[in-house]
Amino acid sequence: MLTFVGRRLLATIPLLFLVSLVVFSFVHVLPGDPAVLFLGEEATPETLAQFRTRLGFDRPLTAQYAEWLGGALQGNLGRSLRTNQPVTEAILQRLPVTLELLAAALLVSLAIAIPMGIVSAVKRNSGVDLMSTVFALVGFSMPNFWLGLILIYVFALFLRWLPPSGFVPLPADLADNLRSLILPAITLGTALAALVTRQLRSGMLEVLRQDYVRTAQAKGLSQRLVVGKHALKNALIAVVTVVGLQIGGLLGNTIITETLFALPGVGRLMIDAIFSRDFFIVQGVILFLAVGYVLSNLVVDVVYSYLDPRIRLR
Amino acid sequence: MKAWRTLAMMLAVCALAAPDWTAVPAQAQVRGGTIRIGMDADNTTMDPHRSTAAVDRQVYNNIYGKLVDIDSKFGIVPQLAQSWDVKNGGLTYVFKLRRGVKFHDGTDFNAESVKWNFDRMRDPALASPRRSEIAPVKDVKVVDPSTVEIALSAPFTPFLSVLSDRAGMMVSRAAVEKYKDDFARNPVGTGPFRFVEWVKDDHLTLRRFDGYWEKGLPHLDEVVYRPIPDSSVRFTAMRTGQIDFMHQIHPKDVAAAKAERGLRVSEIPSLWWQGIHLNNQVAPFSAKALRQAIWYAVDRPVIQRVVYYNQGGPAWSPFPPSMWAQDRDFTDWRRDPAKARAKLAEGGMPNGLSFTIKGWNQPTQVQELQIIQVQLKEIGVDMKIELLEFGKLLADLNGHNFVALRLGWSGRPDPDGNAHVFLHSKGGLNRVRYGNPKMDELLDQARSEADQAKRKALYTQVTRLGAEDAPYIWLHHDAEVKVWAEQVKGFEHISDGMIRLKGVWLEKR
Repeated sequence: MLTFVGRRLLATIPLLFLVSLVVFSFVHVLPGDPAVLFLGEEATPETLAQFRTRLGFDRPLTAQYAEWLGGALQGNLGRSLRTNQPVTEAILQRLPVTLELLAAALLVSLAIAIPMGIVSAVKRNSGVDLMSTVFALVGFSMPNFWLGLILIYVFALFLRWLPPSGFVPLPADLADNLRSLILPAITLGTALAALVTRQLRSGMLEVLRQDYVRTAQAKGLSQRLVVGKHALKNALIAVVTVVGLQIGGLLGNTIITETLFALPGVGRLMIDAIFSRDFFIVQGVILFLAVGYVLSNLVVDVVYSYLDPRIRLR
Repeated sequence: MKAWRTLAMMLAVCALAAPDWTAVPAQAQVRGGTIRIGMDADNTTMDPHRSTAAVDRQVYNNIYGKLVDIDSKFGIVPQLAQSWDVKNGGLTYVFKLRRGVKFHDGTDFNAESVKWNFDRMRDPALASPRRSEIAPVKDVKVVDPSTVEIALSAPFTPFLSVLSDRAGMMVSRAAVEKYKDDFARNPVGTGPFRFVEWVKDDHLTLRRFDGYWEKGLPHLDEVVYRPIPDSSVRFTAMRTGQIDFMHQIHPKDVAAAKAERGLRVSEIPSLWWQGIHLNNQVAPFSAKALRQAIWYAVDRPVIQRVVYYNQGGPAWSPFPPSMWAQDRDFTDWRRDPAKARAKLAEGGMPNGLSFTIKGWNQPTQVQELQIIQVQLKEIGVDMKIELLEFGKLLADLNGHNFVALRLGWSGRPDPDGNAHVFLHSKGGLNRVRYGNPKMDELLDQARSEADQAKRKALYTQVTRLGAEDAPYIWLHHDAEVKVWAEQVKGFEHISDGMIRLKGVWLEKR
């Protein structure tokens, strides 16, 4: 198991290097001159040139890249052009918000999907199954921001149960923290819940048809044990893959969710930085998200190999 | 036009009948409390000499004292400068400064500070966006601790108006020397509120400055700015009482805001203009007649009705109705398809023409372009729309890489700031490369003329020549709308849209 993890870790190094290269060049081919956006429309060519020199934008790209990568390896991603805050500090400040949001969304989606998936597989073609199919279809095709707006209108504006926006940090007040996360977590988690429900349903159906399940049933094991232990664990393998792969998508969607609900997370940081052409922040956040994505895939592989030992042996 | 007049009249009537927000009422002001303000974006920097974002100014107006300010009629009123003399045919400005003013860090504000601030803005190493705004400044001299003399290289009537914004904001030298580049996160000014904390994308807090020079002000204890980028969510936060004041409301929500109990809505003309830049140096719009064809083909009132929900008014010049420079007698901007077709023929394109307009990929702007597209189609002009990201749009504008381009201007209190940069052949934002010696002469005269009546006559000529040459197709002047909870009192709504908080107080419920 350890060698497997080690081997997978080593494999991520060239991948991360590639990611850093793409991130760096990506930001530099973005249209729009940061100097102009920064100094305003009426800046003279002379001022623009001074600005570029001050930030090293006039040096060759290779030199800029080498310096940036060298710094990145030591955890130094430069400073924000606008606020002069170190990029790493800016990201770390917002990370708890995004992680909490991701965790809550994951929790919401699994809490909906696992029971729903199991029941609709066991009671195939029943009313419950139909309901879950409708939920999955709607949940998956509904745009994230639209669902968010509807939730805000219903729960914040009409029922006045929950705040429409804003974030209360966990250490400040647990109850308020949860209240501020409910709507964003549902917004972010619904599409994943829909996907997982369908995945689990088909996985369960597949497994329930297997011989060993029939054997277990023939031995007289209770339905609960057959479904819960024999079938579920095997059906979960596919679910883990789906969830793992979707974390990347969730990270992307946090940008929309955080902007909509005015949460001070990493996604907001990035959107703001893009609009104000805060180069180093954009670079830093993309690199950070890419690393997060790679690492979450690694975790998926490890969990996967735990659930299905055949994967490790290959 | 009719709708616009009606609106203006209604506003005037409202202002007369219910002046509870236009002037500070005679009710007893209450001290204390926290006001929560919902903003459309987060701030980018707290250093006024480095900022280019409009949202920054909202906060600066409460942290930083300025040499002068503007009132609701764009008259220049004293702030840190108690009085001023313009001498030498407009070449020298002598400012008498207020005594006993302190920065939030306890240091004194005086003539030395003013000189140091100007030197800072003019220092090429800082690469300050303010540098071009105060380009006419040749020399700043300390006469005595409360007198400062500024020499200009040429007469520049809008100078005081420029000093009523970021260029006139005085920062603390001691704080800049202490924090260096981190001053951008630790602002120190002389304003009614001092900076407390800024958690980016979450909130920015200011607290009453007890050493503020205006006795008895401010009324509020604390100000919390909360960035809520989505406009519907911001409005929901307003309706649910999460915030007391909101900056920027979508036109579609204004009716709902007026209908909502407990909210106050104020709608006045802004300083904005929205319009189309036509590249005057490439075909087809190098031909004046073809630019005029577009001018007559566009139906401005339809745009105002559909896109802006009847708010604001049609534009035929860079001067909005809030400005004394607007030529209200000018009528030759109404849609006239017959005239438009005649102009096409005159320009050698009787069968119409085809061109591509570049625009910002933003819903309101897209809608506006689509309406124009249909209107042009009717005279045989095929306009293709190319939507770009804002940064790319600006890059193409600056690189003159466009035939036609849709862009707005947030405006300046002095008409010069809305016109000179765009219409003068050497204007900093004249990206359409329009040049007419007569226009240059009019604009230069207007900027060095001190008498407002004479300036108005000059700007009337600018309007007429601008319509004749049609380097831009001005489309619309936005309305400036503010929404706040009814317990917020004492807010004076000025067309520049700034939320000045020193006189604002909260009624206890």
